[in-house]
Order: sequence, then C-alpha cells, then structure tokens
Amino acid sequence: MHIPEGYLSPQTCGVMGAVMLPIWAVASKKVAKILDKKNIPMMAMGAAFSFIIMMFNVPIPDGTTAHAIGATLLAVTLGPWAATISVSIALIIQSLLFGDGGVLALGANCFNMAFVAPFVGYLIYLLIVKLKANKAIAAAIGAYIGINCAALAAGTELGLQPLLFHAANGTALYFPYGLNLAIPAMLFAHLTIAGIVEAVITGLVVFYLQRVGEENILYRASGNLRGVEQ
Amino acid sequence: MGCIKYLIIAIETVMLFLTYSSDDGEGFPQIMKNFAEKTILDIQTIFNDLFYSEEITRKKGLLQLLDPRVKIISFLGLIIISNLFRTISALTVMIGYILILAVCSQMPLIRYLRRVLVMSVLFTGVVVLPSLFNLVTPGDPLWQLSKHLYITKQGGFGASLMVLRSFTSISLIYLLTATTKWAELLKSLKAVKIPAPFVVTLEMAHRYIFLGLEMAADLFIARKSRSLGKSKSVSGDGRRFVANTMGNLLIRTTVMGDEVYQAMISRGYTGEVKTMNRFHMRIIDYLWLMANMVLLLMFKYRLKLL
Repeated sequence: MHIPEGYLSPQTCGVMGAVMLPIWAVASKKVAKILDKKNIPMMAMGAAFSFIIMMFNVPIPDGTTAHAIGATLLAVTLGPWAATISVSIALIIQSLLFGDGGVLALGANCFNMAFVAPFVGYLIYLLIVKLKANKAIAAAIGAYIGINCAALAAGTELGLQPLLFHAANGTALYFPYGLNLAIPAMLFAHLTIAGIVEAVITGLVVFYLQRVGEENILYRASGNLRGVEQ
Repeated sequence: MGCIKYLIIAIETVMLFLTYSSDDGEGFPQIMKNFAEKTILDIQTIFNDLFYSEEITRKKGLLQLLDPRVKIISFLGLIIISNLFRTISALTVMIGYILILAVCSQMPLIRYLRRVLVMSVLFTGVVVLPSLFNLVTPGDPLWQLSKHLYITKQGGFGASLMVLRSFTSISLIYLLTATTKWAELLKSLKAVKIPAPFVVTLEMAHRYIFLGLEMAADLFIARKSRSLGKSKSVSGDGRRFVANTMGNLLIRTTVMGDEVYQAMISRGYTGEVKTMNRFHMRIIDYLWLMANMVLLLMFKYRLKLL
C-alpha cells in the first residue's frame, strides 16, 4: 500500500504531512509519559519488529505470496499510539533506505498505515473483546477492517489528484485515475486478498501468543498505554 | 461502454493488487519458489544492498564529499522542485542533471539505472497504462486502435509526466542514500528539525533491524533445512509458520527491548538524549549550495520551466 514518489502532488503531501505532525507529537508525548524512560528502546524495538514483519512473504492459496503490514498487531501489543510511532519509523526507514514508498509521500503513507490502520484496528479489537469474544478473532477482525480503512484512505488520496491538479486542457498532472476508479481498485484488492492475509496473520500471531502462554505481551504495554496498572 | 469501464476497473484492480500487495519494488509476484526461500532471499538482498551502498559511500565522488546535512536539505529541495514540474522538457533537463551527478559521484551506472528503471518505468508504467486510452482520459486522438478505442494526447502526456517524475524522484533518493553512510544520513535528519528523541529512536531501530532480520533469516533457514524434497504448497501450513515466527520474534524483541533498556541504564542513561555533532561545513558545501541556487534561478527565469 506504499504510495510511491510522484503519485501525489507536493501540495497533497504537504497537507498530509501537516496532518501527521500533531499526531506524531501527541503519540510521542503519550508514549513518553506511559513508558517513561523506557520509551526510546521500546519504540526502537517496535519499529524494528514492524519493519521485519513487513518483509515476510505470506503464502496465499493461488501459489503466490503477499505481505502483511501488521499495524493492528502492533496496536494490540504495544497500544495504538506506540504503533503509530513504530510503524512510522519503519516506513521512514523503508522510504529513505530502500526506496519503498515516497519520501514526500511519507505523510500520506504514515497517515494510512501508521494512523488509520492501527487506530481503527485497535478500536474494533477493543469493541469485540468487550463482547467477550476470543482475542485472536477480535484482532483478526480488527486487522481486516483496519487495513481496508487504510486502503480507502489511500484510494481517496490518489483519486483526488486528477480532480485537484490538472492542466488547462484537463490532463491529469499526477495520479491519473479519479475517485471512481482509484477507490474501487484499492478496496477490491484489499477486501478480497490483502485484507484477508492481514486478518489471518494477525489472528494467528495472537493465537500463537495465547498458545505459548505469552499472552501477557498483549496486556503489558497496551494495558500501560490505557492507563491500567501493571 | 459500461462493461468496458468495468473491465478497466478489473484490470486496474489486478494491477494495483500486484503492485501494492507484493510491494517488493518490482511489483510482480513471482510464482512461489517457496515463501521461506523468498523471505530468506529478500533478507539477503537487504544485506547485499547495505554492502554495496557502503562500497559506494567510500568512493571519492562529488556527492560523497558533501556534508550530509547539506545533502539532505538540497536533495529534499530538488525532489520538491521536480515534483512541481509540469512539463516534459523540465523533467528531461532535471534527468540530465541527475545523470551528470551520478557520473560525478562514480555511481555504478548499470546497477543504478537497472534499479531506478525497474521501479519507475516498469512499475509506474504498468500503473499508468490504462490512462493512455480515451476510456479513462478523454481527449484528442493520438493513435487510433479501433473506432471506439484510441490513445489520447492528454493520456500520453499525463502518463509520460508520471513516468519521468517517478524516475527523477527515485533517482534523487537513490543518489542521496547511496552516497551517504546510513548512520550519517540518520544523524543529519536533525538538520531538518526532526526532534532528537525521534532521531535516536530511528538510529536504534535501524541498528536492531539488522539483528532482527538475522534472527528471522535464521528461523526460516532452520525450517528450510528441515524440509526434504519438493515442498507441497500447503499454504495454510506456511501461513501458520509465518505467524508463529512473527509471534516468536515479537516475544524476543520485547525481551530485547527490556535488556537494551537495562544496558542503557547501567551505562548512565537518564532519559535525556545527547547526541554528538561531528559535521562541519566546508567550501565545497557552500559551492554546492550556490551552484544549485543558480540552477534553480536558471530554471525559473531563463528556461521558464517552473
């Protein structure tokens, strides 16, 4: 879902960056307050973990492989604010050092994958856990909805380009497809395959943690971040 | 007409799915060798890239001589400018400039072009392909394919703009990162006013990514070395293995986070971040900045490209 360089106009990138700045500021304050001095090593590890799981090839039934983002997984283990910082740092490293996703588009990419996906995923997870459902199932459903909301956001950002930025004769200057094509295309891909991969993987990881008796990881940091005593 | 539109949506979907889900830069999922082999290879590629870019940073080229802070700010400026260009001629001039920079910095040209061309021409080319046609971009016919289907001038212009822009942006990022040591690149982010704790977290994350990648590669190699013969592609098993690996790494990185914190405390960490600034500006940095300003003014007033 990484939006590459040159697909969004610099103006859009500026707006998305401006949207992300207060989110990053609040997130680092929250994380610093709750994790205290431990915030830097914990966030660094979270970012490293986020980067590594984005590298994993997940086999899918048609014989090819896909990648998961793991935003909801990070949100249910570290809490949504910490997930925002971890995924953002992973995205910054990806774009700077490996050319995955644009540097100017970082604001937009972070908004979709480091803000929308973990927060939506986490809220859905909390909601379902409150209904006394299994945590693995709750995390899977959260991940599915979270990644699709992120895809919707990405589709909207891309689809707005030809509306907002075109030459005098109507030629699109940036991403050429309008909302009517960009949103269905992004959503279809994520509703069918990418979303299911994300959901299955997130659910299986939480299930693994429960099975090996390390479920406390799910509580510890995120319990902390919700203000629950450890 | 209606069904053709849905056909295009379908093609678009498949393309976007290919490009976005496989995310490996090339945009085409290979037929599964085996997910474990692929992950091991991907991780290897990262280590390879690291090795090669360290090689390039050690060469004595133009860009290698510059202060990383100056480089990061000027390249950010160049990327913004080339994203603002709205004509093909302006982007072509920019590409010429980039190629000169690449040669002056002793970049291995074939490696550089292969990497950038794959990401820009192939990847972006596939994405913009349907926009050439009148069904997506209505306009004046450029090349008539049939009575109702033709490539439009507007579509062609927009698509070439996208491909050229993506070539310039990716080239600039590649030039910046290939000629700068990663540690210095991350340190110099402070020059763009990124707060110190954030930069330190970034630096630490960068360091532990490689440790984590090694742990991950070990887990996959361990599995690979225990499987005999041709693996049947039971993707359910594979998925469970990938998820278990992730869970295992999650536990290990959490434990490691605690240990790193203890190690930091025992070395006198008080929660305050202190970093050293080893950079200093030299004449060549000022010359570089001046040359780029002149170029920018030329773009604006002489060539009227901005």
